[in-house]
Amino acid sequence: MNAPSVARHRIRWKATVALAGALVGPASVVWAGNPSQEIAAVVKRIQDAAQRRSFVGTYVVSHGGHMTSSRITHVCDGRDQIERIEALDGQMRQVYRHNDTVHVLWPGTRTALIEQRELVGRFPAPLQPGDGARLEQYELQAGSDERIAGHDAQVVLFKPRDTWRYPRRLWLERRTGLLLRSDLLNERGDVLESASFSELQINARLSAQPLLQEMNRLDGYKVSKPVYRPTSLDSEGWTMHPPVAGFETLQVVRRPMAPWIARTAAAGASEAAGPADNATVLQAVYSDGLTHVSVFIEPFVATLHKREMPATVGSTSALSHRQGDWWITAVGAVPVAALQQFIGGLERRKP
Amino acid sequence: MTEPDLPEDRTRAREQLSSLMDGDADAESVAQVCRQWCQDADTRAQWHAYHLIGDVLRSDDLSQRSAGDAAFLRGVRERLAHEPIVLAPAPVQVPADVAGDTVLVEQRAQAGGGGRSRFHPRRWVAPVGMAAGVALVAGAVLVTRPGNGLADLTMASVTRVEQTQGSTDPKAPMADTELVRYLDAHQQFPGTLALGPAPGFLRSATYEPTPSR
Amino acid sequence: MSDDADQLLVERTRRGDMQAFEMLVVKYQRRIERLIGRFVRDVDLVPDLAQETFIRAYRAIPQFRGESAFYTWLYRIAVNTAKKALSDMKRDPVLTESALASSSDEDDETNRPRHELSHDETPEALMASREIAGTVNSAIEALPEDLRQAILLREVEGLSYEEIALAMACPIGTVRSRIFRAREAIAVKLRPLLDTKQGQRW
Repeated sequence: MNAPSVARHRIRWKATVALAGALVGPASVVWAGNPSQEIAAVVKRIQDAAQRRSFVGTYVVSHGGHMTSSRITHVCDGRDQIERIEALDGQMRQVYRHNDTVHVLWPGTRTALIEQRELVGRFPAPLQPGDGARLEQYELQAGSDERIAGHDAQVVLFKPRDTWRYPRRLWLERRTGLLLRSDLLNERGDVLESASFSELQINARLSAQPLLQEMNRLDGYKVSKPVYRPTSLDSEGWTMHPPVAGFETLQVVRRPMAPWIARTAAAGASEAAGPADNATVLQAVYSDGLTHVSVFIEPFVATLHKREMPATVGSTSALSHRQGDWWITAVGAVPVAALQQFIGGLERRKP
Repeated sequence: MTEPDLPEDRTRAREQLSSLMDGDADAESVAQVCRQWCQDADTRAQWHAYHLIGDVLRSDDLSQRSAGDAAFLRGVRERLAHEPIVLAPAPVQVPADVAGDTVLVEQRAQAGGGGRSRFHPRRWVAPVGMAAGVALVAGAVLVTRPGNGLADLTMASVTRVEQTQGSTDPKAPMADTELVRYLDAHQQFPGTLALGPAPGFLRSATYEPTPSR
Repeated sequence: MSDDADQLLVERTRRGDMQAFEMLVVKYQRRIERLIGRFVRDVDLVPDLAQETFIRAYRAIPQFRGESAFYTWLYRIAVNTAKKALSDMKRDPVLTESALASSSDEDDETNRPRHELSHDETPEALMASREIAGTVNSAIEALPEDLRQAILLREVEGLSYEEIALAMACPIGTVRSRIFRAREAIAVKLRPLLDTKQGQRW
């Protein structure tokens, strides 16, 4: 190689090393040589930006020919976070969140939903202990710089160390670390789903008051408040073994399924037979630090539970299986083989 | 004929470009060139030069516009930065014995399928009707490939869809409302560690049942 | 003509690969600009409308299923983009007459441009373009017969590698190699001309 290209290579290598440091932001410490801590630092930077910055923009999620757009407004007011997500297509819907409280409004049908949300990494608490370890399943690769929605972005790739999960490419806004775009890739590098701002104003001057007023304007709305009861697999008579590598239990709840999505006659529901729409289901959620898988357990009902073939919608796949008197469904943005592992690992304990 | 001091890997890379221009390339080498495109100025410059040569050979008056070509690409790139990424439906593979008006002719020169890609007539018709094992979800079509549980089910998109009537066929795919309920419940949890503008905001977003507008 | 190459790149674009789309942009930019130049006269408008054409094509690519060649489809988008711009201009009294091409509705690609100077017909631009055309033509003449024949059969006659192999009674590998060497030989002479141009930093 001649001198100029050697020099170019050296510069590129230096840039990669410097990039890892730059990604964690000026206020953070760079841990030299500990990869899982570097990933954790990148994730923390993204989370912090999403929580501490005020911004407004148009967000588009696309997969396989289908695109959904939303308008997102996020205000950070001292220690409070208020955000509104408005669907720009499909049914009219607004999702409001004030810290841990979420209101979902469907103006078209005048129905609403109120629920509490426990958020991981809530501002200003640091990442919870053990979070760094959970990201061991990925390695961090730096990419080139690009522009997204008119902002300069650094590109990083979270590359999985095994085949139980998908790679994820992220575009971080250069200055703030705000996530501008996130692509989920399959093992061949094809984009399964892309979620991106097409237009974004950061540090926009926004006030929280109007949003808070909007979210509480529920006169004439039929409001449901689903209750999610924390529980454990063990106490419900189940064991999961062996757990899929790298996934830890995030939460197990007993919960109603989305009651506002009524079962249709097509689904086989009838007046006479089948569980009521507000019957509860056991949901166990597992996380590897970047993505999560839900395992749903409910009593088997022949008229409802027919299909064991996997379904994929964009990034997320779902797979069901009958185990004796039970119907198990695993859902997640992971390869179908991983879902099979989860289902296969679930065992009904002897009473 | 080629530059005498050109390193061999550079010559090979350029030859790969030349073959790709003429369609004489497999999926893997196309992927490789596309990966190089970002990082490697020579790839961009030679792709431009070779095409300029072809254009000029065919018609002298195409030589006029070469001056601002690199700037033109930069302009397009800047505008693309404001566009959400578009993803087309993955081609659907249906075995020949499936009844109904399902036709797939598209061949994917992919997944280690070796050999050079040649032109194939590309027609595929989104299968409709429960006979082919189809359910509708929020404006998109789920198509099952009959087989064992390992069959991969991918989405083919249809611009306007109507809710189909259910059937009592035990092999019928999961009705869309069931799938939507699971997806919604799943997405409530901020499993991706609050990456993205708002954790769990996607719930009920992409997967709503076809609304009655 | 280049159906195979286009399809490979279109397919990658449909899977989210922006680089593949950029390669198509570079390939068709000149032809699209020339086409739009037949409708719209304005110096600054042509590149802008050409860029607009590519953006519209990008947005519509999920709907492009290969029923026609990619360039045919792109051509139609370019014509629509130009015509729409013209009708917008006619409605807007602020825009000057010179921005409008003559009212004839031709979209025939082989039509010769009109006589008024368009954005590339300034004396400097004409000289530069003659230089490039001249260099390419003389480089072709200087090629050994087998290389010249191969590249002309490919670029001007539009034959596939297999067809050229038959025509020249040689293996496909030889065809591939000859075409590449011909391109390189011409490109070598072109590079000094291209490198000195402003904005030509790839």
